[in-house]
Amino acid sequence: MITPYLWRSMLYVPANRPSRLQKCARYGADALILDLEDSVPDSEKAESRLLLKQALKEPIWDSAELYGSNGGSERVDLFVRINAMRTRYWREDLEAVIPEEIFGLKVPKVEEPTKVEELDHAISRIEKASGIEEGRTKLLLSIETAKGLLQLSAICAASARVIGVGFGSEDFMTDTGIDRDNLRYARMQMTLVVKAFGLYAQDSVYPAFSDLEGLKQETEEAKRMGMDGKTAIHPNQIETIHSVFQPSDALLEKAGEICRMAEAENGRVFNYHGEMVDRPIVERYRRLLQRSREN
Amino acid sequence: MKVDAAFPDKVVRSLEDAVERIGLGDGMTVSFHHHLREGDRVLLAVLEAVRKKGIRGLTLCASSLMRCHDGLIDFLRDGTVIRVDSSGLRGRLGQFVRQGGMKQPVILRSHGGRARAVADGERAIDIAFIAASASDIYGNANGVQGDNAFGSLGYGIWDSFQAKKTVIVTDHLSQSLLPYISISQSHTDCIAVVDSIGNRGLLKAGALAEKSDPLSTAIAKNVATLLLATGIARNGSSIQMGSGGVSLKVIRYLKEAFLERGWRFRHAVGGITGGLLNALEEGWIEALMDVQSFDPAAAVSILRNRNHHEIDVNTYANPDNPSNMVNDLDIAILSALEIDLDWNINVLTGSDGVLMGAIGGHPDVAEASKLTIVVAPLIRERIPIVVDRVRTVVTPGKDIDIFVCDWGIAVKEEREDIRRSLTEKGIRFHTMKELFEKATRLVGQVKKEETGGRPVAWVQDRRGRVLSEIYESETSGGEHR
Repeated sequence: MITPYLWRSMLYVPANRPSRLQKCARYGADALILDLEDSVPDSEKAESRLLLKQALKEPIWDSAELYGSNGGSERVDLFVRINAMRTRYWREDLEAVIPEEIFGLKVPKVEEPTKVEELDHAISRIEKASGIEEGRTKLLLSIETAKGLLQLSAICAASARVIGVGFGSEDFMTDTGIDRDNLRYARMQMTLVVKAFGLYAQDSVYPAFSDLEGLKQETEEAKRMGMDGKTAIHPNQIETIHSVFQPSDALLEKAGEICRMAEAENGRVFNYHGEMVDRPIVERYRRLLQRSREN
Repeated sequence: MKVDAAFPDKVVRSLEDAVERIGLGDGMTVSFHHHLREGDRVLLAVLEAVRKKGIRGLTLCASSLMRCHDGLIDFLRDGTVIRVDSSGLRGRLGQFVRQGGMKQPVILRSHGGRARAVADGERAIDIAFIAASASDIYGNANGVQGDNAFGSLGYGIWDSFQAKKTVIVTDHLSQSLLPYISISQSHTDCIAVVDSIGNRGLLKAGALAEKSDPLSTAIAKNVATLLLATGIARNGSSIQMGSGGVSLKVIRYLKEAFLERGWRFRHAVGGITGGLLNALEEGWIEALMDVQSFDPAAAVSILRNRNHHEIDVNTYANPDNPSNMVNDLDIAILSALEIDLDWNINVLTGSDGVLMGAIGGHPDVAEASKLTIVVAPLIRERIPIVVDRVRTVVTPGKDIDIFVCDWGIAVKEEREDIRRSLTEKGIRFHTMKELFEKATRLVGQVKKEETGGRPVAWVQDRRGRVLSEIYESETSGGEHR
């Protein structure tokens, strides 16, 4: 099954660094993960949350994507990585960012389906209170422990908000004692489950950001495993990730069909093999086709 | 040192002897080049020799002045030099001029404009002091041999043609004929042998250093997409790339596309960077027309590669020379400190009026090229680059076609062909007004100090008309970048 989400790269940006928040949408990543978790020390959690909330209101998030229609620009897809649900910070994180109509949350260290349900309810409550369409805020879950990996089927089914799952190598290695060279089995297992649910599968960061050759090899491996994209911790990694995650023939074929159907439907929402397709989705596929033709 | 000169009277052992021998006197015009950029040690050393001789009231006609020339202030204060022509002013010297340190306004010209001015008599040169990394005992000189080989001598060659007398200043005197000759012995009246002409290691310092910042990468990608998707860059085009960090990255993106398609630029013109040297070796640029080398490696390339041509500045950009190379440009990529709603460009002063840059070949290339693209971030250190009115017009807006920044592309309304092509390819573009409004929403606009009062510098256009004036101001604005 092909995921409708086309992010080749997502760039992590620390929420406690205002100058980076100002510029990061210009770096060309397909989506951004604004991080309230690992890159923010406990002493700066509250301040960073406020800073991020303010930044989300500023006109700095226009997509750097050149391909698209004239007469305006689109906001880059924004995710916020909240603090893990085992901490005392996550509820305040939600209260701060959900009203700002972000694309979704990146949720670290997910291990239990009941926690995903709890998160879903908490988001719904805030969406309702903020006058935001319920279900708008999507979830991209991060599997970083053996327990989470073994529970992944139930986790994926726990909320309709779940659109994808990412692998968190560093914490997974800490949790399991498996070294980096032997993570293939876990990454593959995660991808298989995610694909069974028709969701977006995302690979972990490659921490050695100046080693672009190593990044390329690991990204190629992720693509061979069936993953759809990879996270980046430095803007210089984006280009390498994009060069590997060129769209597959199957995806291009799907994009072509959707664009043809959209033309026939003349702006109306339509059903594509059980997938509801509206204008923003058509626009994404159209851009994908234009970009791939030029490449 | 053995000096068995064929023409022994030509060779002297000190700059003071050269000043004496050449007959330099009060009120004359002396010229210098800036090929060694921040590594130049000749200009100030010559002026020191001049001062020791008690000579005063000189006009200094420099192809440009760098931060390493801040010491010029002492010679302006004591009257050794009373007039200055240059392409740029920076650092403490820029502050000194802006604060009214000189009685006569500095004249700022483009490289092509200077080539014209020294040829048509507007600024006739009495004595050209030309730093050369090698000279033979006959007076043949080049910039491609010796310990301080810096590459092309494009500005020096033209000065040697135009000056009444020429002094070659060198730290490498060859007893035998040089194998490569940039300046002929026929144009050399004196050879001054010095310990050092400078430090070529500083040639790439400052603006020429490659930057790894992601915004430059974003702008470069936008430029490459524009050039390739619309077919502006194609097999057989000619190009000038500029020297900034963005241009260096554009080369990298173009390389992939050109090698894949088997395309070649017919030539690249102007300042030659390491990226262009690689492109020549890799075969996707057929020839380099080098008026100024931005990488010391160019010296070896000029010597060894027959497709790397050293050209003088008259051949590069003199508007009175119909055979100049900029007239044959298809594509030019240039930088900016400010661009305004009428597309006028400022590359000379900050938004606060501080002199911090140089005109270089900007207006020459922009006027002559079939397509001119200006690149800059929308905002630089919280200062908007797109403004309602630039502080100092260096290149008129009529000569610019496209502006590319990290927020996208603006195409001038008159370039309907490019707008149509971008639309067909599904690439969005903006108006300059939209980018101006974006910049204003993000950081506001800088309130500019009222201009007026005594002019301290005149910016000339290519043909010698005053395009803008820079006025005296108490505020120095500090040392910028």
